[in-house]
Amino acid sequence: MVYLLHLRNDVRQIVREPVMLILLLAPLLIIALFRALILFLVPFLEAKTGLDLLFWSPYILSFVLLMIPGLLGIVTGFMLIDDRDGNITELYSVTPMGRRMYLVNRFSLTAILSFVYTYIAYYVLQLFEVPFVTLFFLALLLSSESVIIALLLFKGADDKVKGLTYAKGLNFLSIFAFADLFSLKWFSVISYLFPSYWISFIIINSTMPLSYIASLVVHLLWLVPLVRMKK
Amino acid sequence: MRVVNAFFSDMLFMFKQGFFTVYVIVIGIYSVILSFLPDDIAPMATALTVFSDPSVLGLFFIGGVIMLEKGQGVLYVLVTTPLRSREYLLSKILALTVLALLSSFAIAVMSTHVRVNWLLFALSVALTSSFFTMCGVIISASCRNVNEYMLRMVPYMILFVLPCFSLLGFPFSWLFLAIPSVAALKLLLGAYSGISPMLAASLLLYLALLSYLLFRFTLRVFERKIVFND
Amino acid sequence: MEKVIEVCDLEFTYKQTGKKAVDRMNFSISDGEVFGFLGPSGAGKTTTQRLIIGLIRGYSGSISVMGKERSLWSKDFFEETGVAFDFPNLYLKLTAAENLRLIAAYYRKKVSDIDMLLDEVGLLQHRDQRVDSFSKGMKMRLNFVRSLMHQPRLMFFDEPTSGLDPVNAHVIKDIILRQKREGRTVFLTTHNMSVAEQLCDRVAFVVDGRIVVTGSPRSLMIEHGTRDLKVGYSENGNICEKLFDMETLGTNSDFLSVINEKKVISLHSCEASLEDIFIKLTGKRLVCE
Repeated sequence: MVYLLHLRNDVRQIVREPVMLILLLAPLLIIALFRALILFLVPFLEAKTGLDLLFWSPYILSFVLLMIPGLLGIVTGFMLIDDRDGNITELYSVTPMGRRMYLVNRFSLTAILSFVYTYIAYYVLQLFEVPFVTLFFLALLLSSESVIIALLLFKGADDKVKGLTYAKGLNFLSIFAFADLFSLKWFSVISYLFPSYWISFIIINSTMPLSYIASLVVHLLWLVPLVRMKK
Repeated sequence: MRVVNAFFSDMLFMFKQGFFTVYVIVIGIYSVILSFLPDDIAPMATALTVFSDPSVLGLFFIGGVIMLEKGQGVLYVLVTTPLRSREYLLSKILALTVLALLSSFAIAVMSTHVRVNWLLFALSVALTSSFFTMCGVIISASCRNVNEYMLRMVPYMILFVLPCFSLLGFPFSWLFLAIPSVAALKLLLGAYSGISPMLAASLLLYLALLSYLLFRFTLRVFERKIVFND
Repeated sequence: MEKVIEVCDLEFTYKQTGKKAVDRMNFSISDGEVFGFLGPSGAGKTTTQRLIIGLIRGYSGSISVMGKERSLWSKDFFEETGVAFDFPNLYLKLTAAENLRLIAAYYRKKVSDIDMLLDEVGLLQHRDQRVDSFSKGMKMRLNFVRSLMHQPRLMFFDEPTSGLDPVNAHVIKDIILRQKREGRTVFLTTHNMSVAEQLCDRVAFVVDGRIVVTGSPRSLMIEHGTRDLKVGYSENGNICEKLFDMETLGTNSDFLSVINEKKVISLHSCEASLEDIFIKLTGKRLVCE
């Protein structure tokens, strides 16, 4: 109950800042943009070059789905870094809410939004069909991914500039989702270790029970140490 | 002399912040991907990669650097030394442009083995980099945090990146060459696929002139909004 | 004596708020003088100082510094001046020595030996330590020596001891006194009475953007005090206090009997404290630290 109250206050604070509001709504724009691209660019390219992009539909879907937690995670990470630069994190640690609660709030918001946007993206884009249970599982994985990215940024970078450098690197994490396309054995093997790889893997191999377990393990292997890391 | 000292401390700062490390990784990833492309499209893809990442990295980083110096207050110390505002800006632009050039060359050299007009390549990257770095200074002048900065970058991206598609070719697309980013991309593509010397020279001259004017404007914005805050 | 700073009819209004921060101000500072601006926060002390330093532009009236109007100076102004703000502005990721060297590179003049500077403020053993591990006092000390490493002729300090514990404040005060002995000119702002009293040759009381009075702390204290001596003594287990006119102490039999027959506990002359004078002249209080 207390938690919900805090979360509501937090949401109110963020929504009053127009910059944050726009950034948190940005995934909707991304989804709309991709919908438009599918409607116009795909037939255009096919007519002109004979190249059918929809051949890669599961990968395009993974790309959009991964972009959402990527964006939300980075925005949250920077919000926390800015708060830390302005000593707001310290301020919270001396209020009844506590530092932990403050962080939990910020991360829940990102996670919840990632979860919801996953569903929206899936139904708007209509790119590739996955079973209902798989979609639910994907939404969970992607929300945890948004928290992983926010934590990587927040705990890895000690200031804004380092944050920007990290964000630059984090942008490239989604490349592992396409590892199998390169048909390089070593590259695929490395990719097993990265959460983004498993998003496209599950979309394509939704009937393989082992893939669910493997992806869950990999996500937890990133999430748990990051959450427990002291800094 | 002051500007040289400022340049070296900016390079040291960038090094300590891990800019170089990140770009080694970025270069590696790009090179791997580009080396997978078929030979007929690889040169063009390399040019586009260089244009879309290393040559605009200044825009991405300068905002953080200035906001950090503002936040830690060191900017206000620099203001009370003989270092001029123009020297401060010049050294930042130079430092980021050097990083842009180094990573552009690394990507280009590792990805393709076609003949490239390296002089044109370097000039075009340098002009693009300084142009976008100055845009970054202007954006950061009125920003309080990184998220706001990233959001304010979007209109600039739309204004300068979208018109680049005009080079795909359609009637009157030469009109778009007036947009600096399009002109710079035209030069960069020219470094790979050839360009008439006359056109190259006039585009270079045009971009150099624009950069000079933008520098004057950036200096004014910087002094008004950051240094004196009036 | 040569005037290093001469301010005539200085006025300044903040554009954003429309607040008149400096109102017809007139004062001058001589070569080798330590001059203090004393007043509550928001009085316009810092604004005036910043106008002279050149961090704010758009004033009316005139500010002549080292013989030239401030607005006509180029950045070479800073070859001859040193500035330390009330907040330590340092590169947190760099070491103490790196911080000094980085800024030193911007001066044409050769700077003092960095180890010697650090030693002066007790930071020599921390020279290669990153500044983010420093305590506030250490940061302030480093910030402070940075402002004098190029041996400027004129120095500006804004609240030099604010937020410092007595030990650190003492270090800073000592350095300012040494600068004074070496013949440098110092212009500082403070709302701390004892700082003003211990350091300044002259102080100006500033309220609402105006100077109310200027003078040496000593002469102000005598001028606004009374020539009385307050004697405290014990009588039958009670503590009593009595005032005597200083002019006639030697012949005052009442006084002599107290001194000779009672157990004297305390003797105080009654010159006014700067705080008293400030309240008397301005009707306002300085904020106590």
